[in-house]
Amino acid sequence: MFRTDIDIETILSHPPLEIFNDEVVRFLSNVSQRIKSHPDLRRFPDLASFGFFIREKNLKKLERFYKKENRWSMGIGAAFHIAPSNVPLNFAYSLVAALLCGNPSLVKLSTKIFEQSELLISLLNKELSEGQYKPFFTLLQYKHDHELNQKLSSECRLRLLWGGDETIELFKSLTVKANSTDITFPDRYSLSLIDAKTYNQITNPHLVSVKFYNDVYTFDQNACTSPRGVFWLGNYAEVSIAKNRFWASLRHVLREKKYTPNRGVAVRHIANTAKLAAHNHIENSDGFSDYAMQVYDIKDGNADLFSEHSGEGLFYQKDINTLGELKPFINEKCQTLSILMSEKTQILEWVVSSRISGIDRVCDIGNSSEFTLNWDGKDLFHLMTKRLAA
Amino acid sequence: MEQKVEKFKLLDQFHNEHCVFYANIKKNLFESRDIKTLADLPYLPANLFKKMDLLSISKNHIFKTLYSSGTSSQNKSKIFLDKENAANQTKSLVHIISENIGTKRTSMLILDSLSQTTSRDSFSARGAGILGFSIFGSKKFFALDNNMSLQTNEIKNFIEIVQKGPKFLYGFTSIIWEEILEKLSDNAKILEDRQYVLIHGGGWKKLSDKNISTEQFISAIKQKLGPNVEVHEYYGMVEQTGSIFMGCSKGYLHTNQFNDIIIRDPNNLSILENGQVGVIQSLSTLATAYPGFSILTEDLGIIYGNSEENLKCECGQDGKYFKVTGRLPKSELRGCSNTYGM
Repeated sequence: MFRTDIDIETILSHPPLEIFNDEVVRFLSNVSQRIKSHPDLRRFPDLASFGFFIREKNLKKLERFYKKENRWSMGIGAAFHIAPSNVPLNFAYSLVAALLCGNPSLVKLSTKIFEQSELLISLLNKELSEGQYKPFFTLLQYKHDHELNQKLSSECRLRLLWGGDETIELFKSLTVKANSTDITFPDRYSLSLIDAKTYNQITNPHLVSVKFYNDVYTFDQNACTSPRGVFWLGNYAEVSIAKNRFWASLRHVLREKKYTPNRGVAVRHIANTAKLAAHNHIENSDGFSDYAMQVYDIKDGNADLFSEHSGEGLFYQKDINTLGELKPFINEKCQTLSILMSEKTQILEWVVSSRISGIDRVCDIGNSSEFTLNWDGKDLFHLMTKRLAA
Repeated sequence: MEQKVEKFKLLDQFHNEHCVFYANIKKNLFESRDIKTLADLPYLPANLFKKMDLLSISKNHIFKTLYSSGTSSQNKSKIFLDKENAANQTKSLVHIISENIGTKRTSMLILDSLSQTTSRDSFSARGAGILGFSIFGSKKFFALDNNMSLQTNEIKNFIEIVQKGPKFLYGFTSIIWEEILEKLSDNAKILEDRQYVLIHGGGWKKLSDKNISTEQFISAIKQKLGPNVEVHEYYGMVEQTGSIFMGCSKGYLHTNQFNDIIIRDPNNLSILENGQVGVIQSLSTLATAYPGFSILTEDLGIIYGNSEENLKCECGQDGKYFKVTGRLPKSELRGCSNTYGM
């Protein structure tokens, strides 16, 4: 049950800390070094990214940025994290965000075992035992324990509920303190938008495919930020050329990276697509599909197409002539729009002026899963600190 | 074989014309081509019958609805039958079983409870199985009461009936294990050493989840029911009731005139050769009221040979002979979900 040597009461009774507390920063920097020098690191690009995020240089940079406008902000109190099981290292980002904001934390890990999570947990423990710290977090792993869930929920000041929707609803049904705050990350989906003309002018389309691959396949397309649909902006001729190049190039990258999907992927895909096909919403896209990359053309439909999606390399694509045609496919659950356009402001202006209730984030293809303290449309820093004075 | 392919070709045409959902799936997901072999036929994933109402008849012709077992109404497959389809299911079942145990009706002990069959218009897979196999029972006894406890009087009455030839036992594999075998002590031999023929099937997934092997199951039957129980397994599904695959004396399942089977690669759905494990696509000539004649299951299996390719099963029976080896692990997670327990 306990993945560290630190017990619950120690953390629950731990006072809040200053933002970017020295010990926290020292701990994370050292863990970053341990990650960097680990012989198995090549196998886990997501662990490498995490290690890179918590490196001293980056932490100092974030510290300068936040302390400038938030001189008198500090942590609130104990934070209870309910980590998701689709992105292995999500728990670590959640933990780091809360700690940098000054909140001692209890993290309930998913019961699903991931190699990179296990590796990270062992490195965290090594640093804890060798570095002489006064403990400020603990990691728990348990299946069903209503009492424990209730206890932690009612004694923490913050809960970070990473979903899906059912999990969030379960935890929201527990009692919490009057002065506690929930930060929820419910079921989301993401899309990509590619301007055909811009894409066709790129001299290195292979690089674009590698970036898209990273956004999607690092998590078997199970992360909220992984695009499930690709929308092509442009005229018929441009879009035809772009599509052909893009998917051929992605197929090439899949071979290069030797990506192997989990067994039974095609069966899971058809279980997903049959219903949509039955309702005439999608059809097979000729010539694009490969076993790790199933591409379908959208015939009609709306955002609901993307809500039930089995991931693992399943894409629905559509040609559009104007941004407005994108609107029916966006609802509140749409999180990230990753783009390849000549410039970003056009999209940002469109989202605001069209009063779109979905799309919490617009980023470039390749950056969709890059974690920042501004996440899922939420300013985590301000949500997890108390601001004593301006 | 050509005859069979022709039958399936006609079914494909029929459902294409009478079920718009089937027509859309065929048009949108499958290459349009002439049906020359079984492999050219479109197929529907089994779980689609849980998500949608699929029928090729008008609603007022629905005579019976079959449901698979499932914990909530959202999880049950719904199979709609008109009178003709329902009758054909029974006829075919009779034909298939008779080939195995002869045509004489015998006293029958159903290893389940009468309560499974009480609704007239809708049946679970278990209920449908009981009603289907009941055709063979001249006198029927139920081993379990409504609370799933052993009815020792009923069983005693069944044992004491005098008749020529072995008596018939029927039940769902998982029910036999969970509700009867697990509750009996070792060497209970409650049916004594008389001759019986046991036909069991369905619910094998539960057993494979519990890691109970066929050998363990048969051994428990012999020790706890009786040493002279001839055990026959069948493979079937509620989505294709009636056209079951019967197991032979050598332990293989066989195709017959009412069904067929294809094995596909679970990662790209290409056809696999004999000897390779893959996902089972099950075909049934009986599905006329609903488009269930070609179904992609989530079961894994392996075809060993085909009498039409000069690779006949040792038992001597015709057809393809195969085994079900397990099933595909549950689908992976969707989105930010913590389905691994809260």
